[in-house]
Amino acid sequence: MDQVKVKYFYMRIFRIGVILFTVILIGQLMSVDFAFASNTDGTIDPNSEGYKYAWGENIGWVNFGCDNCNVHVTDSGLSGYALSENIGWIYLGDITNNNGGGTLLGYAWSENTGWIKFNPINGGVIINSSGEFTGSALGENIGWIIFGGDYKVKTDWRPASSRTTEEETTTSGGGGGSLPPEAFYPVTPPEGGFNVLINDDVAETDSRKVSVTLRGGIDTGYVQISEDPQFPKGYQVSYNSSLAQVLISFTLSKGGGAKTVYTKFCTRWGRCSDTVSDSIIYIETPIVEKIKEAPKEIIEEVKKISEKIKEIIKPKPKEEEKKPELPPIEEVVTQEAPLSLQGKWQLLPSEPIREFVLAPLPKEIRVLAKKFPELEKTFTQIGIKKITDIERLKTGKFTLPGLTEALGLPVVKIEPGEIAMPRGVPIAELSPQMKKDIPIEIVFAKTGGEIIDFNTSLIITEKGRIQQKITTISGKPLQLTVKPEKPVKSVKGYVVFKSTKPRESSLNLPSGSLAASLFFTNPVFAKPQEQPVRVEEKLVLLEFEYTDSDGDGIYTAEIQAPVVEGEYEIITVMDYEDPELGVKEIRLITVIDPEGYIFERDGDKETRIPGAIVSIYWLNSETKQYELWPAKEYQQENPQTTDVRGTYSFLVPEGYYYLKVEAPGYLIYDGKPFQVKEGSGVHVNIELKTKYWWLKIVDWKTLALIVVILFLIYNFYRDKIREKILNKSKKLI
Amino acid sequence: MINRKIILIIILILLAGNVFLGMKYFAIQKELRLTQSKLETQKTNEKVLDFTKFFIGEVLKAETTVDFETRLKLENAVRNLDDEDILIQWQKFVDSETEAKAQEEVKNLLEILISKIK
Repeated sequence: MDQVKVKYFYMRIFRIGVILFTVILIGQLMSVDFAFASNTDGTIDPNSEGYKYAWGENIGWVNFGCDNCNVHVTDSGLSGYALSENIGWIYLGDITNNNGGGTLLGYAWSENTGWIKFNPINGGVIINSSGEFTGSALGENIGWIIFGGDYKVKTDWRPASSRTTEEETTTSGGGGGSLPPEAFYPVTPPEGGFNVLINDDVAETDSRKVSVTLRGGIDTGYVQISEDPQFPKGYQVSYNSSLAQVLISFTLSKGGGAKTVYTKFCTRWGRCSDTVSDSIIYIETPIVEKIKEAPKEIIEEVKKISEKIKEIIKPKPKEEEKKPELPPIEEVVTQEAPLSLQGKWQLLPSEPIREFVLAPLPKEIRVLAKKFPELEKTFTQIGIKKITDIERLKTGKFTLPGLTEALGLPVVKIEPGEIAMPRGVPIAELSPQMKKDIPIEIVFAKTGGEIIDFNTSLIITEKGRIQQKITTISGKPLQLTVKPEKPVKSVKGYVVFKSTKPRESSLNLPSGSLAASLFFTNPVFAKPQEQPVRVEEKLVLLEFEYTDSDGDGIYTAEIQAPVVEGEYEIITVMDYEDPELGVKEIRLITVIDPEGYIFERDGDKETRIPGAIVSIYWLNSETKQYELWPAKEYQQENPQTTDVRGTYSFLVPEGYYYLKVEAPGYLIYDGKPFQVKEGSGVHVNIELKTKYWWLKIVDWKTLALIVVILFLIYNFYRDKIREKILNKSKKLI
Repeated sequence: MINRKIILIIILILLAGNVFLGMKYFAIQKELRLTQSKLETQKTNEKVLDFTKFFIGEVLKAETTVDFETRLKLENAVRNLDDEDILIQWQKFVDSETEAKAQEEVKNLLEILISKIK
């Protein structure tokens, strides 16, 4: 029987543990960044324009309710930041709250100007019963920051003494509802009675800022203080009853004369004493009068300073005040139209507009268009005449034909009984006549054993220069061909790194308009070398030499495309034997695309899959069937097996293709067919789905929750069974 | 005993529900504030664009004197934008006394109008 009890006790402990764990888990799962505003944990409403700014005499507005300020006021102190338009963030976390009394103590820290004291001599900041910050703080380098008056900061936190009993009980979660007996006791006066003294009871003062000594009793919680005996807008201060008397700073109302300060000493339950007051005569004396004995120059200087101070402390007008006083609309809009609206003037200046609109095309484009009649014709057809028309060229894509197409050779290999894949012609297989027809001073790029021609885009730089541009895949071989105009001493090549991100070209010219014409009879891209490539040596990744082994005047070189993706320039420098021609260079922009990779998605992360078999299939136009692409003919492999980086890539001639990827443990990927333009690389990133994808739907948190719930249900079930057994045992006993 | 357990479970469920709904409430509140602020911007943009369109159509393209009704509409529209910069620039344009000054001010006005669109 005892054993059963012990076991039952442990089960109860276990159950409580499980429940606690569940609550914590739910809390963890549903945690969110918010705070409940209340009168014990107050915030500053960011949407309340009139109640979130303090005014710094030297720093302007200080925002306590900005979006990221996150200011909280609690009984222990402040937290969060204030934002000044001039000095940036001010950290408030070190300011304490006088045990919920509303008197702020300590320092705020400004990242740019140092400490700001919230309880300085002759100042201090108090949160009154309405939740408004009142008084002033003093910065060691920035002077006074004023709260209250026109510049208000308001929170929904209230001093402990001004929370109603109902609120107290509600917020504390009590629920009792009845007041303690002491709540009904009248406030106890100190020995000698309640007392208030202004400036230690002196008769006169010449400053509006006075110190008020308050003498309350042992149960005094706060003191109401005002110049009006009815306390209409009286502000209250918390009272530390452990002290014999409390000294506070008080600002008298404007205007000279006798001033009376009325006070009421109250218990924290709102039981107040009779009104106690003290008077003082405020003599309003201008600063200048005070120093009337001083020399005139000093008086003038002081006048200037006082004017300056007025300017500085002049409050920023509120939104409403900022708006200029608008005269009635009938006065502004008269029957007679003003000159500017009489339609007599040309409101938009015509000359700059005309100059802009009718400016001719950049010189390089005009030269290009003149040299290539087909291009000029295209420009005329699509209305490219002026500089403003260049924007329209962006919609088109212009490319130079590859060497094979440029020579007018068929790009599709004709074989008896079948149509083979499109393929270029290697230089060595060209006839002497064809070699003669190769355009001069143009760099042609090929790959795949010279049988895949690269598309060369025409681009126009920001400065109106025309450049060639090709795109290939990192690490792939690149065969370059160039035919100099005249005999050369040497042809050298340099691969120069330009940037990691390829820039957008301002103009791409489509091949359709250019391919038909063989306009490469005049050099366009070759330019006299302005400065040696050596100047850029720090960026030169590779230096190579073009060779002409058979002496046919066509120079070739084979290089490996850079491995790192980005934009490069292949600079071909031709050193002519003719001193008049000198040294010319051709710049070919080469964009290196990364290889494609096979991956598995895991949340936001991607995991590369090694050992995946990637196959590419091409559409045989004869059989209308997709077949494995014959990569060997193009010095490549198909299918490819991905390495540890999961990468693969194919450089294929034009046609229709699709990709298929197989990897152990993953579903087979059968891609959609896509079109490849001449000499483009296939390097798309492919995501594979694991065969056990459904396991990922349920994350560990959900699983843990389900397990806990199952445990709970099981536990209750076991309890029920146990109780039944106990009842049966009891009956048997 | 069982009743207490059931009550405990219900309290737990209600607590969890409260936490969840509270979280939702505050998230939606946040979203609402954001949306309201975006909506304000959108409204301002629309007003500025409408005024710009009206200004171009009725003033810049005008070949005769802009009539009283249209000027009244323009004045109301510019005041309705509730933007001091635009209002001041509009007044500068309207008060132009020479053609060159009007051209300068109209450019400034268009610049301010465009810069106000966020």
